[in-house]
Amino acid sequence: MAMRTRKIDRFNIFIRCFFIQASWNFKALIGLGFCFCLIPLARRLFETAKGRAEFLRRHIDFFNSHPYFVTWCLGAVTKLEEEAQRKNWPDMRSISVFKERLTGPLGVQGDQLFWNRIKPLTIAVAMAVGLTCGWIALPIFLVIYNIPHFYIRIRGWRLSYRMGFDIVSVLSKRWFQAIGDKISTVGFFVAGVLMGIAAWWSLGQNLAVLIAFCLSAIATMALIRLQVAVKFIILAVICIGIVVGFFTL
Amino acid sequence: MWADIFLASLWGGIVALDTTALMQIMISRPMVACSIVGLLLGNMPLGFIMGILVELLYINELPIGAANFAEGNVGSTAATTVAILMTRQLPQHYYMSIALALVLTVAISSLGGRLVVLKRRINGVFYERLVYKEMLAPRHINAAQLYGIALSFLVGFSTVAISSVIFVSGATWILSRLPATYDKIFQPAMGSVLAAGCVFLAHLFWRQKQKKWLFFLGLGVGLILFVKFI
Repeated sequence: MAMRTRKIDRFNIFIRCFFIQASWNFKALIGLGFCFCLIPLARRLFETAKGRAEFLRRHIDFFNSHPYFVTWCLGAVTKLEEEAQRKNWPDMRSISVFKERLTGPLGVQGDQLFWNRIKPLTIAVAMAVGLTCGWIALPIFLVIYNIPHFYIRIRGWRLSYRMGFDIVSVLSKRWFQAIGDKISTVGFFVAGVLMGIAAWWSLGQNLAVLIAFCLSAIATMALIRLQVAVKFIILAVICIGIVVGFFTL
Repeated sequence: MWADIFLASLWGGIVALDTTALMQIMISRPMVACSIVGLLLGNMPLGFIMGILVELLYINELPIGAANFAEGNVGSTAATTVAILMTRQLPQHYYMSIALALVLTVAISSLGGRLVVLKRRINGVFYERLVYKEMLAPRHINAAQLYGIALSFLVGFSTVAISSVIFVSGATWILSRLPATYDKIFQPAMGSVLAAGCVFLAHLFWRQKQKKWLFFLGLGVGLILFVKFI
């Protein structure tokens, strides 16, 4: 029985993490996807079908994480499973507990950093470029978004495979919060820049578009305060645009 | 037209995959997805404009955990397909087509969100079968994952295909009844939707308790920048 994974196995596990959300469901969230990622590990560490079945059953349970941050757990679990085989651990519960403990931080860090900050910031930059320079915004957006995306995946994988259980100490540092705050500050500024550019773009179409832009901005702010659903806000501002168009024709 | 709808639907499937199931490299964002629809159907400028307008509308709807969210990516892809095919038949109804496509984005996105929930329920059925399997093997997990990918693709493909088939002929018939002179009435709707998107974005950062003056500084810089550029 092999006690260690080869480079090709680890590469295979890493590649599989891009598919982790394919079987997302309300019962295990990405638990099934996590198990899918570990299949190369099961094939390497266990020769019998029974051994593999037991391994897969241990990892098919509930698990959740931000999709980009999942490598921060995958690498550590790979390392721990190797160690468990090498040192013949009598009890594997510590690995399950470790996964449970990581579920919260991985989800929160990822959601806060990517969905709440990096994604809106990069979109705002791309929109500002798009409104002024056209389609060149598309490659710019894909590049500036995917640099931190791939960096987090690769760094998480390498670091967690090296550190095992100790990866928790890296995740609990305030590093992510500090980065997030900086991105948020830049994002807020860029949102203002985009608003200015969008106003000029509207005036470039004609004065009626600018009037509709201003009225709709005020209406959207009011409707957000009233906690109206997004779809109704969109429909309301389209109506505002048409009414403005009717009166300025 | 059928070949165009098929092509756009294939792309819709890929958009649905990138949204949640596969790599999430953001080719599914409306700005990119709608531009590619435009490229595929031979009207990149309209695709790009649709993408820019719709991009920020669902920025506050985050696909976090088990939250239900509107499928804005597939919705905007389908609506852009409809807009491009409509303007091909009624080029003098350009702004009407855009305004109608914006309304369709809302409707199709809501429908797409429900389909995603359905897909996740079906994935749950596959998961339960695996949990109760006596001898779990890697091939069972691989198969479940493959079903998940196929389902995601199917959701995107069918959403774009069905909505295009229904709305292109229906909406073209409605628009053809309206005089082309009314087209300009619908142009300000573009500014309205863009404004709503910008406010959604600003609100997202505003909630993060930043220094509020930064936004107004940015607004000033934006106004000056645009004058310099243009």
